[in-house]
Amino acid sequence: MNKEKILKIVADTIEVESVSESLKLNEDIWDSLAIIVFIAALNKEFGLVLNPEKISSAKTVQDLLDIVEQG
Amino acid sequence: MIKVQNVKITGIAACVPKEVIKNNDLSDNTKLLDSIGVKQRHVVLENQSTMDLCVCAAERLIKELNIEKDRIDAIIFVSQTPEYQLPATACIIQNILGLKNNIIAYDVNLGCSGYTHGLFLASSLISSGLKNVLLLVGDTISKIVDKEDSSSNLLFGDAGSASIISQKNGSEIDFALGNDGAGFESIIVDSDQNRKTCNKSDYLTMKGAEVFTFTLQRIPNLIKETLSYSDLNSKSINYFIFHQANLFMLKTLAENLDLNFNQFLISIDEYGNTSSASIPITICHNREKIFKAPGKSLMAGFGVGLSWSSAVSELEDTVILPVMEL
Repeated sequence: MNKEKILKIVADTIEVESVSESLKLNEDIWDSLAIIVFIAALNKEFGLVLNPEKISSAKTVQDLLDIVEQG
Repeated sequence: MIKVQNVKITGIAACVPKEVIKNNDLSDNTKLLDSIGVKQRHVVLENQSTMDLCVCAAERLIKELNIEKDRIDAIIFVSQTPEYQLPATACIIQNILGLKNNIIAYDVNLGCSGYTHGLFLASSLISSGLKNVLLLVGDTISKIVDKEDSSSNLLFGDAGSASIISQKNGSEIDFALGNDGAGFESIIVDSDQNRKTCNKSDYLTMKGAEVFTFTLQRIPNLIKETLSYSDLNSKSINYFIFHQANLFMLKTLAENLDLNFNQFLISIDEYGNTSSASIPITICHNREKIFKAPGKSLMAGFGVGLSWSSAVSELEDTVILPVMEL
């Protein structure tokens, strides 16, 4: 899985230029709408349908990378 | 996949309450509003019900079609917001509409997939020899939405519909239907009238991300299988008429299936997510467009259950009335 592509999807989802792996996903930026937008973007890019509970439980961008990697 | 032959949708009518709520008056979260795509919704007053909306649509449709009441052999009422826990609302409606007594009347508890499931049940009754079936599909979800739940409170509108399904030689409807009860808690009102356990809610709870994931997992395959079974491709479908879950969901499905979004009929902007009524109200709302270029339509409902179904049907000779208000 292309890490740079996933980071770009996270950045687009939360509407910022770029994100680092250490960025914390607090409720202000990682709300229910962001989770759905992220799941849709991953589906479009990689054909994946990820578990929303796992996506929602991510505390940092690194957590998201790990979850996507595990599929 | 199931093909029902010698059946057609003779007419469709839809009715909404007069009361309109503009979402801009409730929220300034433009990102959320743009995503769900609902500008306004019609909601019932306290003394209005799903039955009232469906009866309004049925009376008008029966009049417009000039169909003799004793030629209606069955009533199917599909709703999650019936008049009473018992008796079935269809039984009450038989009397209100003055239909004959030797009639079949029953309710079906389904939501987002309710119209296409109801269409299948009505078509099956036609296939077994009945002449005309009155299919009533509607919901008043505004009555069970927690006003503090910002996403649900901005999403749902109320509507009722009536369709007449009849015998017609040479006409057919293809269906696909399915269900996965493992996801039953994704959309639920767990007031739990039978078990009487504590901490239950009378309000609708919806786990949006789970429903979204379910839709991505099930509906693209449903559409592909439906097209394949009907020996069609996406270009031979004039209109995709999907349950109006939310605008983002519809756009995501179009993208996933590589479909032209212009082929999608939309009503969510004007009426919101009207649950079981969203397919018939979308047809009525887009009647002028359908009249100009009638052809095959692929309808698909998906949601609470979790349940899904599709139907491929011509709407060429179908009488489609404009959305009326009560």
